[in-house]
Amino acid sequence: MTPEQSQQLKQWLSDIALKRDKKAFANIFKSFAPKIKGFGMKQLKSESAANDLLQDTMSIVWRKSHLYDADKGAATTWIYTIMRNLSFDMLRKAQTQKEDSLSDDIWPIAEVVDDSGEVFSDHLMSQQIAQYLDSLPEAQKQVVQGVYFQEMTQEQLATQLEIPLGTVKSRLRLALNKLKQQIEENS
Amino acid sequence: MRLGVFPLPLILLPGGKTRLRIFEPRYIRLVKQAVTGEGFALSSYLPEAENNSSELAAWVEIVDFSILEDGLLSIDVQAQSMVKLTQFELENDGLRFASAKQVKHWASQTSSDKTKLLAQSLSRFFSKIPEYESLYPSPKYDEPAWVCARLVELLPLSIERKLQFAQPESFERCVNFLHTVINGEKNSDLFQFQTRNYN
Repeated sequence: MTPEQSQQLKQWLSDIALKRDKKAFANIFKSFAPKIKGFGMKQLKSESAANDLLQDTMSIVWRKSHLYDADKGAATTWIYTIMRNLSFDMLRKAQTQKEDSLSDDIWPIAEVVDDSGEVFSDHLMSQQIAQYLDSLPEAQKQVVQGVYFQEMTQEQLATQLEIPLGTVKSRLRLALNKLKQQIEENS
Repeated sequence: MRLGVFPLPLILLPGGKTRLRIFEPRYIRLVKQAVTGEGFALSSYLPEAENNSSELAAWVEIVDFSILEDGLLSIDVQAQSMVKLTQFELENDGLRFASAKQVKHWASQTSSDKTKLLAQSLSRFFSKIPEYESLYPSPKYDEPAWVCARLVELLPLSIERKLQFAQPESFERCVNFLHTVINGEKNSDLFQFQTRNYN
């Protein structure tokens, strides 16, 4: 890849992060789709799983682009790391084939300390959305993602409130617990 | 009345708006009928539920539309009120219709210290995220029910959680919930706000 191309990728990621630029996202999608799909076919050995991997990777790119730090590495490195992590998750899931033991709350109890892991901390939320996306034809997935993303992520909320992500999570947990109590008291 | 139903993984409360891109034939049909008739029902997609749809839905009106660069139809819809959907019917092209009965959401509310803080946060969110701001040219920051409804729509919560706040009697609970999350108050006690001055 030429330095110009690499710079272009960084620019697109930054446009996605700062301006929620859909065109930049489409460009990123086009640039990475063949490779991610190829990787998925090889690792996951099924076309639908490869499509899922592509979809999930791109949805994280769209949502987490603000976490990409151009000083720390190339855009390709960042995106392929997301892809690999997701692919591991999918492999693990395929191996265990256990029923998802989703807890009542959608937030993982353990706070994620590791910086790089933070990117995946709302994994359970993604699963819920992924389940919906699975039921849709390919073209509609993109539309629905557009719709879904009008909702803030926990990271965005943390940024907007200018508090750490961990604080957002604990506030949400606290609020949900209190809500439960109130509902129980009233019923 | 009978309304076309569009289940999506989101929730709209009265006054809420969202932008949708429409291209599936069944939903183009839905839009065509909606503009000449009585709007449609935007329900929450629930994978486990019957008809994959919540019973409570937003009765929406199409308030704006445009044709995108790629030729797709984009519509802005706004929720007029909540409706309860019954007697779902699936038509040949996959479009669902249901009987819709208007139901109450929150009554109009008076401002409190908590809701004023929430209104400030919402206006900050809007000013920093142009996509939200552009949807609401005249935000009603002085109406607590409007402010809380927009915050519920925006927050990263599961649909099931959000649907709890679609219930008519949920306003007080909702304010306390948002107060904890947004204002960061551990107790819903205003005492906490008083700053101490030792000078």
